Amino acid sequence: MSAIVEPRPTLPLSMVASQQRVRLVEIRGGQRLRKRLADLGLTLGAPLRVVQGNSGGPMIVAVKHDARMAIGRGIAHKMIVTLDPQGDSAPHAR
Amino acid sequence: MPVVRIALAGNPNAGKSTVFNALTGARQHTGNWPGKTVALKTGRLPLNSHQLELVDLPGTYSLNAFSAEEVVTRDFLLDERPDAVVAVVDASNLERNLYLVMQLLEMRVPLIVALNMCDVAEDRAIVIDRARLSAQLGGVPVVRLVGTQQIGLDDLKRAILDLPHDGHLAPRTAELPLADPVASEHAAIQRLIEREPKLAARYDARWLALKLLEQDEDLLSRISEYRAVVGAVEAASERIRAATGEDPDTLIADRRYQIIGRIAEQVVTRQRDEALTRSDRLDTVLAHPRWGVPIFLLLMWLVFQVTANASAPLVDWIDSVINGPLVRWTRAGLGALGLGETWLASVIIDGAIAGVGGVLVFIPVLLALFMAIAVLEDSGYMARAAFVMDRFMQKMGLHGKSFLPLLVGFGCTVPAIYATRTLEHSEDRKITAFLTTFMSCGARLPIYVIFGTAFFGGASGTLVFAMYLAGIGVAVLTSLLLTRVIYRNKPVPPFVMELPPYRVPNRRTVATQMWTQTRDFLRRAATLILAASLAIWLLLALPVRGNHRFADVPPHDSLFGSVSAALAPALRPAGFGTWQATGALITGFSAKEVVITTMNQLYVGRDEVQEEVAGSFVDDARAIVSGLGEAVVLTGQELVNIAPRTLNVVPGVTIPELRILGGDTDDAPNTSQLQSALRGAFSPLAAVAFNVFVLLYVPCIAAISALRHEYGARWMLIQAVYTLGVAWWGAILVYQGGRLLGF
Repeated sequence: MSAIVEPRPTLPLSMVASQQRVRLVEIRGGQRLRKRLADLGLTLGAPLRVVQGNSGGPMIVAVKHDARMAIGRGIAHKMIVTLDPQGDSAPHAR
Repeated sequence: MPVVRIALAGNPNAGKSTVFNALTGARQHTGNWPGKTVALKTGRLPLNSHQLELVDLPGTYSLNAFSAEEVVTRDFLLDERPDAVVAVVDASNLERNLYLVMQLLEMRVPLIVALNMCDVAEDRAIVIDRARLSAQLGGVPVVRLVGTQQIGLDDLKRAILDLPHDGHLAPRTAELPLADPVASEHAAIQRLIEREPKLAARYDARWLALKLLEQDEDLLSRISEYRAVVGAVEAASERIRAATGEDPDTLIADRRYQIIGRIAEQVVTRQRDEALTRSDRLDTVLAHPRWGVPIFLLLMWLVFQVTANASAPLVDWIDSVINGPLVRWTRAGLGALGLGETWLASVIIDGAIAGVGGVLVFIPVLLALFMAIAVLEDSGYMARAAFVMDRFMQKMGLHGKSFLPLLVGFGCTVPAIYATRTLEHSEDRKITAFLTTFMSCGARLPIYVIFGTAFFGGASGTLVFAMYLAGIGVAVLTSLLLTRVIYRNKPVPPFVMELPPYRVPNRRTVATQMWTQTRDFLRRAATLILAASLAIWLLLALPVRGNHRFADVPPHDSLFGSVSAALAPALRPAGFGTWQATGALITGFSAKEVVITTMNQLYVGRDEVQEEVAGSFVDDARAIVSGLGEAVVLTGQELVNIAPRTLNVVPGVTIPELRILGGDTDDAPNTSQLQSALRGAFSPLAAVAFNVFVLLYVPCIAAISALRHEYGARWMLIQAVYTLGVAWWGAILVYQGGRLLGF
């Protein structure tokens, strides 16, 4: 789907542990969900940092440096990410 | 004077309402959780030779017309064409906030960017180059603001005056540079639109073409008669999908963020890289997966302790002023006018003063409740409450966001129903609005308090807490019924929500909110409740049985008494099938606090024959002042005693409570006439059953009409029938169950 072809393995956001930096590569959902997430800054290629994860409940994710998003389990399962060692400061180019 | 219309737009939590308040001085509601302002508020502000009309648009993240707020915001910009738009931007969260700014630029509205919350950004060592930001956005003015401290308002006003107000579109400022294949397809659609004179006159062709490519459902239906344009958009989208493997809307949103990312790189400097902010650290405790819920419940317990117990001394003081000096002086005044024992004196004293006064005494309770809600909202904690409760709400078939309207419902059901607009799916909105009535509102609180202190003395807080819990329990069961049985095929709602950073609640915001909400209540006391009091008085004055004159009827022989008596048998299984209790509940339809008004009139009002020796005016005044002083000391004492009382809940712990004044206030015989009358009329068990009925039955007229306004007459009727049924069964269950258990 995505224009990014990366060798790194992908996993659902819901599996990512606290303080990990990841990059969003796929959203398994309809147009409505994708637009909603895009409005909040959650677009493909966006660097994310998990502030609070692996609890079984919703998670807290840092988006665009300063925004904190609460993301429910259900959606986190549909957001596919790759681990991103470069971190938050990496450029946005795709 | 020419009127210049300015719209305030911005993300939820960007401090838009604070800026609006600071500019207009209008006293209105602001809150620190997403989507607080749902209706349009306007305020006026004279500025040099102009008259500014400010419109506070609902907080939105974009202009996609998905949620109700986005529709309101976009329709306003599109149809009302304000002279200028002030985009209120959270400087501490610039990148995400610029997404909306980009879309406003695309619409070509005359724009001013107000960089708000600059203090928060500076505190976090985030530096923004305003001149460069302005240049990057195509020369749009960028003003520095700290709305909470009223800093930068003059600069903003100057920027507004400097804009040309000629009703034309802004000059092309920053364009969204598209990339192929979207760019060429977009250009082709734009040309097609420009060839339709009506469309081109109504919309900016470039903007419309972009929105159509983004599959904007609202605009697609608005222009559905232009078949050629719609067809071209569909074909273009297909070609883009084939070429890139992505939907055009995704590509366009990505492009926006790409441009924003570049702008941010040039204008934002971070002097330290904080991986964990102060808010994040607080969230490790307050939003903890395991501790979050107990902390939330503890906070709720404290809120109810403050509202029910700490306000009690002030309630008693107001009560003593109204029923003592005020009634005495009124009676003396009427006597001096020669109206001593007439029906007019009865209207004023037994109708108006007894009715409205019985409700006014609860001002301290409501001030405390509204303060607590305001502090929770403005501190940012409300959003965390939704976060920690999400797991629980999922089990109810809803999600954490539905929790916010429900929490607002503890204040008043009417704003709670309007707050459901923030939810994305119509079924969620409907179900959540249906449930708000079970969140016990502020108007029901006085009833529990009066019964609680009459029957359970110091344990009144426990009755109050139990009522709130019972309401929540019924809401859970109702939600399960709605989501599992009636709306079985409802999709699982997605939960994505912004968590605003914590902040120390702004004193001005909290005070404003306390005042506006209490004022609304007082207005109702002055109008609706006064009208209800007088109507009840009139119904009580009309004889239908026996041989009585007008205004000289034993209540039972009045019109009101006979109607209530006819309905009372239906409530007998619940233990309070008296005509007085029934009558009080009937009048509660107009507003729940009227239940007390009616009870005052039925149990106390008319047969109150107090031949008190009227003290001198000076004595009375002295007693009022010293009573207030005493009440203030007692309030402080009650606040301190919340700590031991809370710890004493733990089995085996007994910490003595502080006693400065009045020995033991709790066990002192309560002198309130109504309370002693209630003790005679209800058994403790029947009192609890009555409170359960009050909690659950049909909300007031205002709430019912709000529900009709939002979700139609059918949903309103369903709710009215359902709540009445649940209240009836609930009260019977409590009364009969309690009897079986030997209470």
